[in-house]
Amino acid sequence: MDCPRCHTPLAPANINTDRFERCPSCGAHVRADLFPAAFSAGKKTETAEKVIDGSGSGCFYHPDKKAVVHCGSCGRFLCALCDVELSAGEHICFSCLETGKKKKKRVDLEHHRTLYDGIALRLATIPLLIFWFTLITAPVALYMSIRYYRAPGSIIPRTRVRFIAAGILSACQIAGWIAGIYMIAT
Amino acid sequence: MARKPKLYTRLPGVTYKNFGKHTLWKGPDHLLLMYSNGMSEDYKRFYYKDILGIVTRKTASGTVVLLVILSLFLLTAGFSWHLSRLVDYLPGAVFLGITAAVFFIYLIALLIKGPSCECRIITAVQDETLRAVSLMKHARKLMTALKPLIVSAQGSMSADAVPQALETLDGLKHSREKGRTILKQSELAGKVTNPRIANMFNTALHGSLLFFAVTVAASLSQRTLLLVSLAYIFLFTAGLSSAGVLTTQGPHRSAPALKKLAWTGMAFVLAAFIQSYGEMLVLFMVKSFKGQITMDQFDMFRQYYSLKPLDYSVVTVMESVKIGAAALLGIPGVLLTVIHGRSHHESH
Repeated sequence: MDCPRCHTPLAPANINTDRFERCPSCGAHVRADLFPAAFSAGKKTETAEKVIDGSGSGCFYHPDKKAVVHCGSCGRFLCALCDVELSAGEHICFSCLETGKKKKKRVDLEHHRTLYDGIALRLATIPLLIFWFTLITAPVALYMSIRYYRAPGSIIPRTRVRFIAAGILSACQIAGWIAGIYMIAT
Repeated sequence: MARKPKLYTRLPGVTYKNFGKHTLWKGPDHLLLMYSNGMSEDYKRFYYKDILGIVTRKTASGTVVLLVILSLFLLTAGFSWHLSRLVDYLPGAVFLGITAAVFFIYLIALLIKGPSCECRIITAVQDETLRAVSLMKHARKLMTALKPLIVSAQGSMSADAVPQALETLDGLKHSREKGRTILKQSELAGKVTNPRIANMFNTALHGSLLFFAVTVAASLSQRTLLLVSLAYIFLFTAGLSSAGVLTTQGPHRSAPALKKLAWTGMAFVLAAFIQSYGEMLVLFMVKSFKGQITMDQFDMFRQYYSLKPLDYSVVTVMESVKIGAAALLGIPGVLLTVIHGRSHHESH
């Protein structure tokens, strides 16, 4: 564990003290918390055992290796090499991991989400500064508020109030345009 | 209909950067680092069982910002008070007074926020800066909230057990080797980007800024072509030197502070040039309104340097701000360059 400023390894006496200590090299105030996982990180990883005399099941991907667990998603037998342990002791194979990531079936594998409510609200508000743009943006904002109302939003707690606000605002803008055009025409 | 159970709860700390905000969330078995720009979100997960360590370092950026805002507040408040005594400049005094009030409120907010910090989270495959945590008080709260969760996932480790464990386990050897590689990389970077050249550029940058401050201060009372030209030569040198610092500076000790100063110096040089050019344009417009149109750039410059700054309050304020800012950047810059140069010399 190094000092973030000078990259000098921190003294063991300055680790896990629950307070800020001075780095002996550069004098920076550093608090370092080390956890037991740090000690198992450098150890050798588990290797898959070979199937001897046909006893035990073989791995789906490596038939000569002994299966140690089955995939929680597709049920295939997996050796220690193919096993991917997810949170809460769940084991899956690489194929299911990739599928889950691509099809966004698993929330805990997602690393990006589009916030349609935020886009709709911006489309309904920012163009108001140069109101001519609302002729195009208001219908788009209204469409987005309706089309993506049930689409998955943020993974953190978030209400749908932005969709509602964007819908109301864009509907008002469209109504304003219709009224304006009608008044000019008559 | 039953409500969805809350998966995440908010942890202290938020930083607005890169047109979005960085926040931290506590999940059932992981820490979620989130960047949101309002239209999309990016996530990074750190499972409690995988976290090897968390390193927090107190930084000086909070204090530097505090000092800059304090100086700006004193400058604007002082000028506002000075102008308020002159009957003709009352609108200017009110404007500067409002500006001083804004700086004062920001100053109070900075004082309440407290010192700044930098927080890093380390796993076997990641070494990530937690951008959401930029204040010491947030770092403390985060550790209070996070530590029990990590301990429940991994078990606890006392401070006494650390030295013995560090000596015996392979993980330490691995990290030491990694540390050596980092040191080698920094040495290599130091060779490629010769620290002496970087130091030379730093000296030129901060020296030029100080000379600029002195020449501008001198030109306040005696504005001549020589002094104004010298001031802009120093400003130009400072701009070139800041570019030199940023391209040659290696990842050696105390470089981050000098790098920040170089960026600020560059921004200052740009702002000073834009302001001077703006001043010249205003002068050109005023002259053209009066029918004394000047199409010759040199003639425009001649008219510019022949202005008596003390006769125009706006010019006086602008020149004083430039002197103050150049001195504020130049003095700590020279000190840091000397300290950095000495420490580098000692390490060799």
